Amino acid sequence: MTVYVLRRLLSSLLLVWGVLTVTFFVVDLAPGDPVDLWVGPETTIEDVERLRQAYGLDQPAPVRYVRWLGSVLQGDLGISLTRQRPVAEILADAVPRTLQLTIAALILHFGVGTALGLWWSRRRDRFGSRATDVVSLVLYSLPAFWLGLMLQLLFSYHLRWLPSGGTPIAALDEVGLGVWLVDQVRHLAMPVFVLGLAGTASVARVLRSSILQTLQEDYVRTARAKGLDPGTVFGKHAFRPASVSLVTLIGLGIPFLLSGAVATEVVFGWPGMGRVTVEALLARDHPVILATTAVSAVMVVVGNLLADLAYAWVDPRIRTRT
Amino acid sequence: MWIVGTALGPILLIVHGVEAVDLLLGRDGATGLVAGWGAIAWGVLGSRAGVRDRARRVWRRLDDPLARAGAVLCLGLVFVAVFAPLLSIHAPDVLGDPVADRYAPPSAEHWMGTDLLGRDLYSRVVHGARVSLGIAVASVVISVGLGLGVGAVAAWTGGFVDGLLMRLTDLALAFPRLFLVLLLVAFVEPGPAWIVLALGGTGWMGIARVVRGQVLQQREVEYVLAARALGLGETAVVVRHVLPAILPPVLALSTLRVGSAILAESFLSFIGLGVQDPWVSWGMLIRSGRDTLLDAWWLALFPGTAIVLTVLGFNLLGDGLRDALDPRPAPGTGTLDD
Amino acid sequence: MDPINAPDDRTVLRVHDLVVRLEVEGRRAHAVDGVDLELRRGETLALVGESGCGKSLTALAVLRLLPRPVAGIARGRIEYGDLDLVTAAPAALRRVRGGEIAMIFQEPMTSLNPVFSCGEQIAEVARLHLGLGRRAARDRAVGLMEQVGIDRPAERARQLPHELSGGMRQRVMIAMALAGEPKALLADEPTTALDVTTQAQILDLLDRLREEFSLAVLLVTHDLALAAERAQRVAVMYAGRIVETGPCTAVFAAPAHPYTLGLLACRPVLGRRQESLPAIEGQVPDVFERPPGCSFHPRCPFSVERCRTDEPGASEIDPGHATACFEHDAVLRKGAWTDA
Repeated sequence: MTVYVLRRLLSSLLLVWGVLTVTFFVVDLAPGDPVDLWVGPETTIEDVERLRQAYGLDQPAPVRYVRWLGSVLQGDLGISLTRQRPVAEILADAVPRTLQLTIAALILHFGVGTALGLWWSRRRDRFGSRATDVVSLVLYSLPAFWLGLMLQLLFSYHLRWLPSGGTPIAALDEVGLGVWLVDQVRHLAMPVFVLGLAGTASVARVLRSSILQTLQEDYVRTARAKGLDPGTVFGKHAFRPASVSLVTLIGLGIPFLLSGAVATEVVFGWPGMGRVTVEALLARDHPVILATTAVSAVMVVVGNLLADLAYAWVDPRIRTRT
Repeated sequence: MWIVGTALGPILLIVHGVEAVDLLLGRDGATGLVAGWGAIAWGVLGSRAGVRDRARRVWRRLDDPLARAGAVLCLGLVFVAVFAPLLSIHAPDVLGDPVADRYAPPSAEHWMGTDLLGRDLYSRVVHGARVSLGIAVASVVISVGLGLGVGAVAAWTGGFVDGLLMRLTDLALAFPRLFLVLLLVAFVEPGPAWIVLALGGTGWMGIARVVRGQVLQQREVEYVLAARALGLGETAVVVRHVLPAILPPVLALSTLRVGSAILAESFLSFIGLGVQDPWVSWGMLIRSGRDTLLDAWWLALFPGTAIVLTVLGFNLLGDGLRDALDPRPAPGTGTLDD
Repeated sequence: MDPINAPDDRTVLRVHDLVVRLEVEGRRAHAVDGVDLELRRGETLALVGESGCGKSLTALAVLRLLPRPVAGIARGRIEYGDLDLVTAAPAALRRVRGGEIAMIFQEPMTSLNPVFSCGEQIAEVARLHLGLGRRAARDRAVGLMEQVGIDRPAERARQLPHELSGGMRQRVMIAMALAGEPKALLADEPTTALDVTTQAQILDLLDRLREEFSLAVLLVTHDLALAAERAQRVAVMYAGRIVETGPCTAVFAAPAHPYTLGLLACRPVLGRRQESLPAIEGQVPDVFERPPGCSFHPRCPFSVERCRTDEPGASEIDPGHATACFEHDAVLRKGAWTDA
């Protein structure tokens, strides 16, 4: 097991390095000069050159790459061109916000998704099963940003039940726990719902398919032959092996969640990494773009690593063999 | 039944009366030309029994009603996309009366209402189908090409090359797709071409993996070994024996990817990094509807619904194809309690 | 009337006229076509036949474990005590499964749940049927594992099936079957997937357990020699029907059915020189395309006109030895397979 962990760790590190490198060169090779943003009618050529030097933009690419890499490893992600703040600070604010949504969405996935998947696999009637199939596919086909807009239309503008966006306002030390909770829920409800919807449908589908397959296995027949009641056969002997497949979904789901977060944050004005990225892209803010893309990719790698380790731990076969 | 389906194209043409002549003569631009002659071709094809028989055979293969519904949806949308000029009532860029017609809710005259400039939303949605669908399909074609290439080469060559290509694939997969696409698109001239390239260049990884798995399997299959024993050149073996075998799962996967490509493109257009004027895409339409969400809700609703229906169609079809190809376990009607 | 299976006070299980229907892609057939069997305490009945004859389905049918909806019991009675297992309520059936009649399967690797420890899978039976608590059940599991010949049972009990060898896994299956203190054991080709040495060990184990616990054992196998060696009675099955039943000694010494005769004659005998090995001509008919009358007649050197149209019922030759053949006298007289 330890060998496996070490190997995975090593390949993850290599992957992170690859990610950083690719990100740097893609952003770097992009047409367009960031300096153009600051050029006004009165800017002189000397000014431009000075700005260039200040931001280190006058050095050749490989040099800049190494310097950038070095500073990243030290935690310095540069200064935002548009906001004049250290990028690391911007991210320190934004990343937890995104994580808030992402983790809540994951809980939704595996809570509701699993329950739905279980319920669905037990359904005997063809109509119920079919209907769930269609519904889950429809959920999977919705564009997140549009769904967000429609929900805003309904819940914020027409019904006025929920705020149309933004982060929770109430601070815990000022109001009571009840009010604080309600405020959290009201602000999180729509974004988390939108973000988590597709994944929940996905989890339910995968789990159902996995369970149905497991039910065909010989060992389920053995469980019945032992005289166990249907509930135990299904819930213990079929579900346990089938649930292992769910863990892989976590790993696969992370990149989708991060992508989805972009759309969700933009629509609901949630100040997370996604929104920061989009704003930076529209403003050609290179250091920020670099940082957010790299960070998101690193998150994916880390997430996959954790998921792989979790899988190895959950599937006893791998745990004892490696 | 088939008479109705076949005649649909020509009927549309006829409905336009005199204008149809303009279309056929190319006076309304290239799209009109394609649509006009396409309608005629559709009618001709549909009347041939041979074509109908093949269609029927393919139809029979898909025996799941949901998959069939998906296929119908997809075909319908492709139909709409191709024959857009015939199906739209007003041209998408015709400006209406700036005062009387702006922000008109759905009515008999404007089925989906109008926008700020009095343009008919229905027509814009119909034309948007071409762009959205076209971009998505084109990008998937690129993804499939790349995926086939990478996967097949990796599996066939094996060893170092395989390892290298797979590491590259892992690297590409480490980026959330949207981030990568945004990265690629943000720094270039906005336009459909770049979007297609960006989407195509970021969607091949899953296909490559599937292709690699399939090719690895097929390598060891007997008829391949036999062919090689007979001395057929490597490429010949791959092309004539292996590729046909791996095509079905790739087809199923690519159908699903069209759906995600549409979603991706619509988001890009929504945030302004995608399709721009004068091109019209569904995402772009939603973008213009965002600011007036409360007053002119139809501007965001209809294009979005179009997206949902389209993606749903492709997902249903793709799912159906995948199920039709994999050996399925008997549907879980086996009871546990007896 | 069922002459061979007249009730005996040692009888534990009786199968009457069991018919199992098979339905695949719209085609239907009776995979098991009117089978009578009887299991007696302390005795092994071997159910012998080639693959496709329906012997596994017969065993599965007893505990209603047929793969639905493909297969199902069409008619018949399976008498256990005063229950008819065919129509018993689910709750009653579940009490019988594992607690009264236990089953072991051919493939121990796929028949054991891969994510639970061996000990747990055995203990679960004890908890269910003997009402033991967790600790007691675990102890019983370890004890059983020792009884079936697994060394270091306490350690093995904590391991997962894939960590054990094939032979050990089958022993675990057997321990699992015994955990509920059953009276009968259905063994569906328990040794087919094992190597020869292990086969012998497992079969010895089964013999020992049968004697020790006075089990009634149904041994399903395709191996005639195995049946002869390990069983006291044998039922030969062909194309869904039992063609001959009786004590092993009688049946193998003087078979009364052409099929049995053929099977015996076609085995190479150690030490005897043979020019060529006789074989039964033709092939086992496909389930959906069985010939009318006696299903064996197309391949039978003894067949007469009648065999093509009428189905032979069971007729008793000696007490306890019966056969389903119109020409059994000829068979007994001839005693050899090759055309004279």
